[in-house]
Amino acid sequence: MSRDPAFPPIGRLVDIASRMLAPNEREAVRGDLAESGATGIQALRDVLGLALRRQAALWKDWRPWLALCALAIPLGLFLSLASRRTADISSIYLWMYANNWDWSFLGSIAFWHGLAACLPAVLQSCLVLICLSSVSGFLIASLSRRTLWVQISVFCLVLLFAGLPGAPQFLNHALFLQPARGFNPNRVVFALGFYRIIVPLLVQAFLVLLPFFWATRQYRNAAAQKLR
Amino acid sequence: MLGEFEYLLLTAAVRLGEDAYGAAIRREIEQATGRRCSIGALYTTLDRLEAKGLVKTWLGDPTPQRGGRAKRMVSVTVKGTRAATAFYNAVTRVSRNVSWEAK
Repeated sequence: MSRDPAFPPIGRLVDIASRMLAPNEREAVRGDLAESGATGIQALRDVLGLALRRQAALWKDWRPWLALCALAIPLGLFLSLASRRTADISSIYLWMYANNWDWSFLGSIAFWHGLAACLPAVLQSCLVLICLSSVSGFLIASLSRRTLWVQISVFCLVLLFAGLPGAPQFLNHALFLQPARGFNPNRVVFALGFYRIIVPLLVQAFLVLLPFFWATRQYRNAAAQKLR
Repeated sequence: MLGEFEYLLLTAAVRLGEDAYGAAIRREIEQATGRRCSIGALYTTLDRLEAKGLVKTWLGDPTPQRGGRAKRMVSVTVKGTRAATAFYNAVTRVSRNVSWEAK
């Protein structure tokens, strides 16, 4: 959609906001706003107001609530804990090899044995996370097409903040038995900010969010093609 | 029974006749009430009235003053006319012998 010169100076924002409306309605609403000579702020307020009313009307149905409570929140929570575990295990091996590197390791049989043991475990853990995230994205997109953006926002919030202190740690223990961070000898690894904060965020971004968004996009494209 | 805003919308649509569409109805309501009518209120009420079978809407022709965009045309159905008449009669009856002038 091209930028509409009728709504200066925030025509681009009006463009983006009006994408939340159905195509026919978008056409009529933008026409009405152009005809009434609305300023950018007025147009944005009107479009957002209508989009919010539309979204609120969808939530009167039970299905979006079911998708939110049975899928978006539980999957966000589960993937947050699973990604944290993958990040923690990867961090420990990464620390072992990267922070204690010595070129003489290359000549040691024990080093290659250790690498052969840990690499498949880490790769398997990453692959499982990618698959679970893709399936989650596909499920959420297929069960809540019209409230997708709200579902995705809640999923992302839960994913990002479930690992913070105060999150349901009982679930972590129940699902993953012994969190790597709680194990005393590993404290030296997680004392470093990179392994404690950056690696979990990278894992969430590349192994969870990227496959998740890819799957939702694939589903939406497939659904759009079916409609044509 | 209709709501106040639903009645206003039906009346404006009938007054405008074949020229009844979103922006024109909105203008008509704003002039009559002296209050701002939001697009959100207008379009969601139109949907509700259409779901009740009181109006019929369709996409009309685009015009240059709208940046070449189509209009959502509105036509009041027979059922809508009956509902508006019932509302008007009820308000007229209940207002009989009542003066709203400030004392």
